[in-house]
Amino acid sequence: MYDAVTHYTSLWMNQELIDAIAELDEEKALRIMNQALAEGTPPLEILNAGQIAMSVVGERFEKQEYYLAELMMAGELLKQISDIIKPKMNASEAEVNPKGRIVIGTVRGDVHNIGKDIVVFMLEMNGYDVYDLGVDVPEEAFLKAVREIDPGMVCLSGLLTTIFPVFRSTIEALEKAGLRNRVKIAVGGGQVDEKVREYTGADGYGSLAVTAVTLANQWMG
Amino acid sequence: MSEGKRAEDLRERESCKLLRDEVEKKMGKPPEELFEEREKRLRDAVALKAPDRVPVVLFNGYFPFRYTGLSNAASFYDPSAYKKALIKTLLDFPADSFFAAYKPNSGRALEILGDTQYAWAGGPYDDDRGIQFREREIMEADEYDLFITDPGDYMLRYYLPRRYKALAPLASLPSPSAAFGTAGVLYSTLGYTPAVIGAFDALSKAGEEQAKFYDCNEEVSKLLGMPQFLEPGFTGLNTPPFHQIVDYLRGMHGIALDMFKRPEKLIAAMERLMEWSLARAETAPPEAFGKRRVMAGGNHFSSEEFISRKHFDTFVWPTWKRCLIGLIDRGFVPRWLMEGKNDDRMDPFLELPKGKAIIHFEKIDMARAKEMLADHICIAGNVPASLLWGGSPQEVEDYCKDLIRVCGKNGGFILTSGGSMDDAKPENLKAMIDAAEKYGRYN
Repeated sequence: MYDAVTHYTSLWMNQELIDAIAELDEEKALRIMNQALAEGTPPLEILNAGQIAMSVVGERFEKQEYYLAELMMAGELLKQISDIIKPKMNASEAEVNPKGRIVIGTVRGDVHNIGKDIVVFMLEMNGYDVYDLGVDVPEEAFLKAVREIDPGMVCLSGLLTTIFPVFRSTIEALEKAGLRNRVKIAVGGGQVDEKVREYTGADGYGSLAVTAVTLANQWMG
Repeated sequence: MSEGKRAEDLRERESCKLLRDEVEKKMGKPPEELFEEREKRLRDAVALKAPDRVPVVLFNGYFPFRYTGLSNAASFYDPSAYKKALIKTLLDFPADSFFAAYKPNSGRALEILGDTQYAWAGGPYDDDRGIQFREREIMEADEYDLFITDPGDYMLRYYLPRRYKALAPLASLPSPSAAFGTAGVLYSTLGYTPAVIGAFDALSKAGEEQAKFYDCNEEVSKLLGMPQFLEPGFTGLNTPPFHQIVDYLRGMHGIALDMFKRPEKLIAAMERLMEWSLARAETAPPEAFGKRRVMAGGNHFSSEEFISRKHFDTFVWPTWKRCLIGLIDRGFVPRWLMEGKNDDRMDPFLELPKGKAIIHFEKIDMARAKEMLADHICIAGNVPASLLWGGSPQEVEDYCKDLIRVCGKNGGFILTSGGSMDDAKPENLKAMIDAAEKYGRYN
């Protein structure tokens, strides 16, 4: 039976939870979450609130109201919440329908992870299923991932100028293996520009994280 | 002196003389005179005066090794090859100054210590890679109090053993404060087990290896009459507390969370580091007063990509400012690299005394930087590494011409690349140096 009081209490609580997470108020967010659980709010609803809050965080990041530090803190908060919520959910609730699969990694010779991690965060927030191969990823690992995961897009990341040839050799390796035409490839990093894209043979490039989302939406959305 | 040593000495002196002649023949002046001339050019730029022309600086990186056909590993394992590569490069590219961004690190020393943070060519990396710093959370979030109470003890018994495999036994030492004041302190209470003795042994061997590289840059600088853009600084104030905590103790992820979860602890630790740094800060030798350029941090986790202006003002700037003023007061010329985007956090630098520092930009709207800082701080930059790598000499020349026109106005500008020029095309480097001469003359 529809219970208006419960319904509106829960909506109000969700909004409060969304706000607390988006404002990165850890203590308040956890308190509301625990209270909501104790009052019987379905775990999925709490997790949804968490995801809505993350998209608010993502928007604020794009508008430069939030920075990487805020993304990291938001990620930490969401992790704390999911760690409590996920065990309380059943398998069908936990399922999601991603917009597409993306493989990403910092290429061989480079161990910089921050730029890549922001891209992963942004892509996930925008509904993509992201397979992060980590840093210092050799060509073969990209080949293997493309074969096994069959992504729509591959993102090669790197900060050092010394790894531009590795962008190229990774793309060449995909070509030789006959996999190049199955995926769109983006190269990204602080030093990457059109000249680098052209040299590497990628389909697109970005020096800002948000460009990865634009490219993904263009290619797979 | 043994016969062999005497012969070696003689050869060394002979090759120095040949080199001197070569410099004089090429540049038309002896190295000492060149050194003074180039040094003055840099000093004038720092003092916001117009020198005879815009000074141009090489941000070396691994370029010298690639250029001379050596593997990068040689720069970590062969001090003599390191010097030769540097000499050949600086002879062929006679800029006003050079900056060995990666100060020579002995690969042997790093191996002996078992460093877990650096990865370098010829060690964990293959011969043609560079050196990279793998940041990690060495200090745990709940250890701030330990650190704040006694940073020296924390270094000895927590930091060193966690960072260097060979120093792991130091973790078993009792706290020095607990051991001090008892009779026979050296023999009994300090816990000199064979493992601890082994750790100190490793430290001393690593020191010997590192010493072989220590003076390389200094020697080459004197031989060629080319000042170093930055000298190694052990002034105690070189790295601002925020960056010390990011790089060595908490990592980016750790400090990001600390700013939200335990801001008071973070600030207290930075204040403690500040006191600690001030206590061991040196003063520049009187003859070098106002000339000795030293590295003074960088904005690598405090730029717009990473933290808000509010966080910059709360956590980064207060102690950074004290470091910079401390360096200036002690006769040093601090120079720092502004990596990434920094447009919204330039005004704090106007709080520093005029004409005493250098800001090196990686990427920024240089016209705006000049406009903001022209009357206050010398700016250096910022030919993109990607242009030196992928552009044509004409493109490099055009870029430099434009940069000099905008930033060179009335002095206070140093032409250099925005990042280290590891993979620059030699002809592009030449174009950058030539551009300083062609477009950078004052009067």
